[in-house]
Amino acid sequence: MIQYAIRRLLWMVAVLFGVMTIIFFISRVIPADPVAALLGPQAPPEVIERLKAKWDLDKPLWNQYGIFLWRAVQGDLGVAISTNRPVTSDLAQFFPPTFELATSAFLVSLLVGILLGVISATRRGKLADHVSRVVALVGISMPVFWVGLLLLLLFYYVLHWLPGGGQLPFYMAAPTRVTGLMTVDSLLAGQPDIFVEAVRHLVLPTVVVSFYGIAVISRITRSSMLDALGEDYVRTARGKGLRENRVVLRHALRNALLPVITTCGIVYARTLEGAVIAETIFSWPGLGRYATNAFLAVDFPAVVGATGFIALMFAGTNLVVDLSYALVNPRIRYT
Amino acid sequence: MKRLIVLLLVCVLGAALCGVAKTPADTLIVGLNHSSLTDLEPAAVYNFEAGLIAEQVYETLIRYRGGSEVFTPGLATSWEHSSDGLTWTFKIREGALFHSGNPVTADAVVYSFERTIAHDKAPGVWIITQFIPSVDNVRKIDDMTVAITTNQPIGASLLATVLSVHGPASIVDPAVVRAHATADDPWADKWLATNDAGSGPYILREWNVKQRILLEAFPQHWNGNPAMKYVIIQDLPEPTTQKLSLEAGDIDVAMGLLPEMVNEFRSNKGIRILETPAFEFSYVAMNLRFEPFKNVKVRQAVRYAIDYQAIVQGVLGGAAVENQVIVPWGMPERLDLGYPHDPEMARRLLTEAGYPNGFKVQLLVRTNPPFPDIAVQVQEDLRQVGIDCEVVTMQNSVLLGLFRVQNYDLTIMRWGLDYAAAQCQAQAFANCVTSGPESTIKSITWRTMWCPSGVSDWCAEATAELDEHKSVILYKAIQAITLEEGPYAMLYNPLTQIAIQAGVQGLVVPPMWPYMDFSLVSKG
Repeated sequence: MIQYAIRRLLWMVAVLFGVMTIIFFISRVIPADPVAALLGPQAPPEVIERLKAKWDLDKPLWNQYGIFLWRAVQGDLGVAISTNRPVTSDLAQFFPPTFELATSAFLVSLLVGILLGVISATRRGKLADHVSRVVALVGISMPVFWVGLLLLLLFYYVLHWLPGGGQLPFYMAAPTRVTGLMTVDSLLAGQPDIFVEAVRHLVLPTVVVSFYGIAVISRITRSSMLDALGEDYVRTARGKGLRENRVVLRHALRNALLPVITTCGIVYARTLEGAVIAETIFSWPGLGRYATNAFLAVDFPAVVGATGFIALMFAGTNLVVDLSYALVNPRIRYT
Repeated sequence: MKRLIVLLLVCVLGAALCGVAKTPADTLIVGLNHSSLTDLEPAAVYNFEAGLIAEQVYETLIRYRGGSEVFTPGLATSWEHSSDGLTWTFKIREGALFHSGNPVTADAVVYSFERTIAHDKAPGVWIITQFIPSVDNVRKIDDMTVAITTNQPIGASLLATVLSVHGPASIVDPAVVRAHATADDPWADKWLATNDAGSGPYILREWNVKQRILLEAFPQHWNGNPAMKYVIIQDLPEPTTQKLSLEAGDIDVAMGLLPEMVNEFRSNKGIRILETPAFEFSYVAMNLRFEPFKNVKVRQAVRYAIDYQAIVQGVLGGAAVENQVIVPWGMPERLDLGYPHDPEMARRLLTEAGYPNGFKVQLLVRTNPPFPDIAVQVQEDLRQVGIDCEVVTMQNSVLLGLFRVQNYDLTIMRWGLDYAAAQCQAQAFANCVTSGPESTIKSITWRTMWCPSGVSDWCAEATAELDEHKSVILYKAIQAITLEEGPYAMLYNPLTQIAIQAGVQGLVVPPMWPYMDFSLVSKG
């Protein structure tokens, strides 16, 4: 198991290296000029040259790549053009809000998805099953930005039930930054009013981002529950006279969860992706908005840094999921 | 345990659904796209967003306000010039204080210019150094008097404009800057990038990158304590979010709405719209490297062919004013002339130029709205007279790269004035010595490869003209020749459209919107 984990970690480093190299070259070969984008049409040529030198853009491509690699192994991803700060500081600032949003959306997906899956499996062909299917269809087929705008319109604009954007009301100062997670930091600072606002602001984006996860998890849960409910041990459990709830939750669901865990990696990764899009709509100060802004500004260091970081998240999540199989299913052994 | 979970869920849901917050009475909340906001170090301030913050936090000797009273005293209460128009003497305002409590003195003014001039490679510093190239040009006369000698005679309003440019012309507190200077960073650039050393009506209290900027009123400001104790500039990049936030009362000022959103607000009694023609342009640029455009008649034909009103009313929904000359609406130098939309005349000129069947040309345009729509209108207008345009859209950064090196035939460009002077426009659009690579000035004239003989001399003459009346006449002549022969079809000045809560009073939008003054704002 430990050997397996180490091997996977080494692979992760290789994947990360590959992703960052590809992104580095893609970002450099597109004919866009980040300095021109930053300074606009009227900046004098010598100023442009000076800024190009600052970001090593005046050097040959291989030379740039060498400098990038040498700095990257030392944990230095360069200075972002669009924020004028080290990319690593930017990542440290912008990742926690994304993590907070993605994780809360993932937990909601898991809870609601499994619940819907179990209900539709146990009521197969009945109204509840059909309703859950429609929810899944809607969740998979509707783009995040559209659902986001619709819910924003309904709950923020028409009903005034929920706040519109950001992590806090605009006039409220954030608590002292400890973890970067607004809900946790507000509790650590002993400021319940900020906690309540942080939760309120989390509700809408969470719902929007969790749609995809709910859809996937509920469908997987349903089909593997149907398989499990047809197994001999379920019949035996029923034969022993156990109550149906106990049969479903203790016997069938436990065994039906393995494929759900397999999907969790993908769902979490997709949830992160959804968070990236939702962040612009909900003015969420996270990595997605940072990356979007970096792409639009042709901010090479930030684009490479943010993409590499997102790749790291994908690879890391998959590793955690793979390793967790062994914990859930004792039949699986890693060699 | 189950009950506890249910209770917790109910609490969270209850908290989530309680009422929507409104902005506090002593706080002005402004929605703005922060994507260009990278640096608040005064010499580096060059874009609109950083300019807006610098305007609140720092002060200049003379203040630019736009409108009828264009310039007002800032840190200088009065100024006069020598008869040769070279030396200007400024009286510094008694009682003006920096945020640190230190008084504003002649030493601070000299130090500030020395600091700016030392940053001669920063993007906007050339605005100052074109007339004040060395710190030797700025001299302390006594504790409260400063003399500035320019490298050539320049008119009073041009000097006032240059000295009111926030950022490079801002006066900084020498003691605070020195306290944060290091051996590697003698001018404290790093510290000033996110902190302030100014004397403006607001103090920069917090800058949470890509989230919000918190400004707090400076009670000892010479003009009194501003009515709004706090100004929060919130990062709201999405126009839709800005619109919804304004309607819900979560922000007081929306500065990034689309024209159709603004039109929707016109019937909303709770919201007011402030509109001013901006000192910005959109224009069609013709490159004289392309054979047909070498002929002045072809360039005129393009100007006759374009339906300017269709662009202003149809494409932009009225969010602009047509302007075919290089000086924007709102400047006394502006020449009120333009071409009518006359396809027949355009066809005749093309025939006279030797292109009776027109020609094919590529029209490069950036992807950002409304430019692709404008390109389609221009394409259709030119098609009517026989010019076959192929529209190619590309990222703005790519397009600017091509434009800078004269590598295009026809394009649509955007331009904003660096400072509010007709001289700024003449230098960019009419001043050219040579269009070859050896040219040291690579202005718009160079990029279009148009080098009219004699016009550059007029530009120099107009800059040096001390008689305001004569300089106005010279600028009108420059505009007339550019309109007649130039390689541009200037299209319009866009309207700066800002939507505010009806209760917000005192906010004025100057033609250069970053010069907006939040210290005049109150809430009814």
